[in-house]
Amino acid sequence: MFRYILKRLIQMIPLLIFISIISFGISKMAPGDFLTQKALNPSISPETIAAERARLGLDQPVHIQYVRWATNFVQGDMGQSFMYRTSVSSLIVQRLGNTLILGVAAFLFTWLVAIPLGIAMAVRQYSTFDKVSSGITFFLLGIPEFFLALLLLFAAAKTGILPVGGMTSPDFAYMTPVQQALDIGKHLVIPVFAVAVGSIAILQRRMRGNLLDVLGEEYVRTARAKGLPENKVIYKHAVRNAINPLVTILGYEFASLLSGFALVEIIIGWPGMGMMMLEALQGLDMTLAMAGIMMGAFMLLVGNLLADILLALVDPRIKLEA
Amino acid sequence: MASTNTESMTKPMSERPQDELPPMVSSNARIWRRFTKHKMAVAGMWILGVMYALMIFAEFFAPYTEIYEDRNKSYQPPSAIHVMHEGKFIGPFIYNQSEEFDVETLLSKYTEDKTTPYKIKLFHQGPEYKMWGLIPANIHLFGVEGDQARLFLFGSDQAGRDIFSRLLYGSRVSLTVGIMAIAIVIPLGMLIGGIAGYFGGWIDNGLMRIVEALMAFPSFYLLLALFGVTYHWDITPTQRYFVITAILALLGWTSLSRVIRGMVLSIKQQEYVEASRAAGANHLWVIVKHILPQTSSWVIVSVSLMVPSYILGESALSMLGLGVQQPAASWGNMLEEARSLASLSLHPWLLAPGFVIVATVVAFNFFGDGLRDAFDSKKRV
Repeated sequence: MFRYILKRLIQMIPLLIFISIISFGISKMAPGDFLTQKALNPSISPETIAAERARLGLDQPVHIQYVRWATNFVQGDMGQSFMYRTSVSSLIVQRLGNTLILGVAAFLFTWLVAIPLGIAMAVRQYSTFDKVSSGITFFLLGIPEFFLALLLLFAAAKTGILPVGGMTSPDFAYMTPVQQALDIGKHLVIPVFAVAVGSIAILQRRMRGNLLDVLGEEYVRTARAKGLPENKVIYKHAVRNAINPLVTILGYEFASLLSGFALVEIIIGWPGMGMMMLEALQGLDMTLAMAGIMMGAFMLLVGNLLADILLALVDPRIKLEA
Repeated sequence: MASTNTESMTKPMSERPQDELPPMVSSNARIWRRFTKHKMAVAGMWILGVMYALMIFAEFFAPYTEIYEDRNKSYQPPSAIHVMHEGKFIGPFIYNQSEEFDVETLLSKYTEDKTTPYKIKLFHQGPEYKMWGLIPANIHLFGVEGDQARLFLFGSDQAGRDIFSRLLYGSRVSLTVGIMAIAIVIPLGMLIGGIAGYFGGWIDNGLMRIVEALMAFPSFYLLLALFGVTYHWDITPTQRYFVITAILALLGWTSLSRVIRGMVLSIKQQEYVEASRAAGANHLWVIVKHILPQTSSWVIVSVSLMVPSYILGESALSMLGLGVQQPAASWGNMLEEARSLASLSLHPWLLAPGFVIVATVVAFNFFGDGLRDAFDSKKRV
């Protein structure tokens, strides 16, 4: 197991180098840089601009710039954000935290709703409840998350029950920690709902399908034949086996925790990584944008690794080979 | 058995006995028959057909042009269509709506001026346009006379442009971007997947490592980065359209090529491939002419299910202001105004493009589902 993880981590290195080269290439496709914008400001002399350009190494050829950036990055120095006037790493840590709050909440919500719903639907197959739920989820699956977010914001603005957008209320700083947690919780409702609805629809279908397959197995018939109460048959025998294949999905959802919600973040105004990326790209703050892509890619790779490990832990038939 | 069958084929339909086997049909006809059994898929196909027809003749169906604006009619609510004026039936017409400032709520409000009706006319001579950018004309399917009242079926936006007309013009971006992207994705994905699967060895290894590396990118971040960078380019709207298409295509071919590779791995074991090689065909010919056509039904289905994701990609990025730029319309950038909650809560009709996007995506999904069932030979009864 340990050797396998080590091998996978080593394999990530060339992949990350490739990704960094591509993203660096993309960042150089932008016309000019933030200094070109500064040069339009008449109060900054051209000499200052030139000096600053030399100091940041922006006058060097591209490959030298890349090596310079990569060396610093490996040493943990992600550079300075020109827009926010602070170090990129501190900015990323803060935004990453916000994104994780949203991601974990959405993740929990999805699983806590989808699994029981799928079980309930499979147990009552072809009942009105099953049909109505299927219809609703199929319909919700067709609504893109960004539009759902807009609709929810609109509803919130009309009813005034929930806060519209952002992560905290204006008087957040004056609240007690408990009130602060509640405040964030209230702001979470709309983004969580917007991102979770689609995943709930998919997950619930799979859970329903898996459980229906398992309920047709012989051992379930045996359990029923020996006189076990139906509840025990379903929850003790069938559900446990039906959930197993879903662990794969769990792992990959984990991987998308970070990058999956960028769009909804932007629309809701949730100050996470997605929001940061958009602002960085609009302001041509390429150091920040680069760091954002690298973090996103890294988390995706780690997430995939975790998914594989989790699968091996749950299913003894799978052996991780080093 | 065989003889009766041939006999029935030669006889005209009406002379055939009722209890006979169905006539032999080509596999295309069989697929079509299976497809038409899927009611929702047929409905999806019709909806898409209507949408594409409206798109092609957008200039004619739209009462106004893409950039026609009436600055006095900013955020006008959808025009209510009346038929009764002062208790008399005079056919469909609208009243002029004018803006008034409400001193109490500090908001402006539109009210209908019920004195003069403005009739809705068919084949109305309205704002000038160039059909397909070529033929100058001014005939619109419908419109309203006079230059006071405006027939805004879905209301107007901030600049006083007709949302309905812009939806029709915007479909020229939103409905074609997916198809155009697919036109790049299919040859690219099939060829790369075909080459990797056919040759195997280090070629396969190298190509698949590249595919995996591209898949390791968090896709939305990559999309955001590419749109964000090209957004700063100083290019014409047409060039931007192609850049957007190229970006969307760039992200799509990887998954296609992976599946094609897997299919080619098994197809290349078949004897006819060997026969073709033995007959002296070169590698590329074998791949393109003999192997890839075998994957076509899978490709058709997966592609029809991929189009919605491109439509959504374009809409999302245009909505963030990084895609199609104003004053050109796309369903995504029309939603940009709806992102401002202050204006959305007062002008809910700004959400109209979103509903059109949902309808299109759902129609494509049903259509694709129907195609999948129709091509799936295992389901044959």
